[in-house]
Amino acid sequence: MINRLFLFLSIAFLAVSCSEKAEISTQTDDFFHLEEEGAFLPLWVRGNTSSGKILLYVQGGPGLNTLDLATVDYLGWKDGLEKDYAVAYYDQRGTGNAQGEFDWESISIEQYLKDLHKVVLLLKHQYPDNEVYLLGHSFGGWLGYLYALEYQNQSPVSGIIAANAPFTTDKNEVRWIFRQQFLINVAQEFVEQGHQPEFWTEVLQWTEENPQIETREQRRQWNRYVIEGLSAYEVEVPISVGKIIEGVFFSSLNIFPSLLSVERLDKLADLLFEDEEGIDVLSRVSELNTPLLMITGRYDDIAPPEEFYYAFDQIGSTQKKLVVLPDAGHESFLNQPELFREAVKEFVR
Amino acid sequence: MKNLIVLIGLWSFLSFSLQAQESDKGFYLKIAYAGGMITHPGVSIGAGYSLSQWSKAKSNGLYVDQEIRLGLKLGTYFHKRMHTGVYLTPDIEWIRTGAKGFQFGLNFSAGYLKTFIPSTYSVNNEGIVQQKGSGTQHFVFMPGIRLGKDLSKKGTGNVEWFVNNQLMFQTPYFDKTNKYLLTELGINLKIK
Repeated sequence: MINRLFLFLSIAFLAVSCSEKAEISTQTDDFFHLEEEGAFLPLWVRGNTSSGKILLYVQGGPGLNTLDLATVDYLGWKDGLEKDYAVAYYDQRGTGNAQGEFDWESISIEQYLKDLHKVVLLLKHQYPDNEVYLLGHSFGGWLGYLYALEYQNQSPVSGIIAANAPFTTDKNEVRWIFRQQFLINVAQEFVEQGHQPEFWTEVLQWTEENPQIETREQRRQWNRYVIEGLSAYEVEVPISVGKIIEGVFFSSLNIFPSLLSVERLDKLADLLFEDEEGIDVLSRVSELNTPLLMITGRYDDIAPPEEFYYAFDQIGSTQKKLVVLPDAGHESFLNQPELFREAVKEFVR
Repeated sequence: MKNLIVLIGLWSFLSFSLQAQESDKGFYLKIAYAGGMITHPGVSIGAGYSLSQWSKAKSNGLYVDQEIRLGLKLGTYFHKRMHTGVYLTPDIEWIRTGAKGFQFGLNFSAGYLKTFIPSTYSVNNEGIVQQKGSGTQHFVFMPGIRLGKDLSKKGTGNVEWFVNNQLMFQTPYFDKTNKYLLTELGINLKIK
C-alpha cells in the first residue's frame, strides 16, 4: 500500500513540476536547469526576450552566488537592462542553488568553461531567434575572455561584455606594473583636484620610492593605499526587509547552500584562484576575434584602466570597444547604472 | 539506496510488531502541513506508537508526563522551481507534556528522500539538447524541535496539535550535505 502511495505521489509531483516552455515576451520569466557532470545548474531568464537578445550574466568572485542577487535585484537591472534585453542568470557549479552530487575535483576552470558553453547552447535551443551575449563581471568577464579563446569556433555567442574584468591574474608580473601606474595616475589626478592632497602626496612619494612592486610588503602597502583612498567608490546596495523575506521564504532559493555556506564558498574561490593563476589570457588577446566590449571604472583597482589601455591594441577582434566610466570602482554598473546601460546598448544594438 | 529502503521497511515492520504487542501504550495517526522553508507547501502523514511512558509529580502536586514514540512518516514538499521532494522516514521522539497539556519535544528522523528537479535539460558534446525528467536521491537525517498541546488533558478529545521544525540534512551532496528546513503544523490522533 505504502509503495503504491509513494509511486502515486511521485508521479503526481513529477507532473506538477513539469517543464516550463520558453515564450518570447517583454517580461519573460523562465526557469530551467542544466544537468551537467553531476550538477544541476539553475538558469533564470528574465526580461525582454522580444528584443532578440539575451545577456548571459557570468558571475565573478570567483565563488559568488548569482540567483540570490537576481532575486533581490541587487544589480538593479530589473528596471534597467531587463527592459532592453533579457538577462539570463545562472548559479555556477558549487555556488548558490546549484544542486547535485559532484566532487571538488570538478571545481576547475576547465569545467566552468564547459558548463558555460552548455548554458549558452541551452539558451540558444530555448530561444533560437535570440542572440546570446556574455556579460561577465570581474572573474566572470575573465572567464568570458577564456571562453572566447577556447570555444571561438564552436560558440554561438555574438559578443562578450566584460565588466571590470582584468586580463591578468596575480601570477602575471606585469599586473603590478599596471597597478602601480594606476596608483600614480590616480594620485596625480587627486592632488591636482585638491582632493585629500596630503594623503595622495604621500602616495606619490611612496610610488617614487617604490617604482616596481615586487615584494609581498609592497603589495600590502599598495592595497592599503587603494582601500583607504578609493573606498568611496565601493557600493553597498541596501536590501529591504521585504526583499529579504521574499528571498528567504517566497523564492526558488534554498538559503542554506545559497547564503549560509561561507566556508564552502571560500574554499571554492581558493581552488578557482589557484587554477586561474596557471592561465595567461593577456598573452593570447591577439587570438580573440569575438566582438568585445570592455567596461571598467576609472577607480577600479582590480581592473584598472591602465591594463586595458595596454591590452586594447593587441586584441584581435575587429569589433572592440573600451569604456572607462567616471567616478566608478569595481562594480561600475552600480556606480554608474545609466552610463553602463548606455554602453551596453550601444554595443549590443 | 536499496539497503536504505530495506532498512526503512524493517524499521516499519518492527515498529508495528511492537505496537501490536504493546498496544496499551497508545497508537497514533498523524497528518500535517509540512512546508519547505515554511512557505513552500507540502504534506506529511504518519503513524506510530508510544514505546515508553512515565510520569513525574512536581512539588505543586501536578504531573508531568514524558514518553518516547516511534513512528514512520511519508511526506512531500513542493519548492517551486527548485525541486519537489518526497521522503519516507522512520522517526523517534521524546515528548514532555505538562499538566495543562502543553508539549515540548525533540525528535530525530532518518530515511530516504527523492527529489524531482523541474525543467531539466542536458546538452551532449555534439550540442544536442534533450529535456529529461531528473532528480536526486539522498539519505536524509532530520533533528527537530516540537511544540504542541495535548487536548486530551482537558478532555476535549484524543487529539494533539503540534508545530515541528526539522532541519533536513541531505547526503550525498556536493561538499557532503545539503540542508533544508521543514516545518510541520499538524495533528496527532491518538488511538488506544
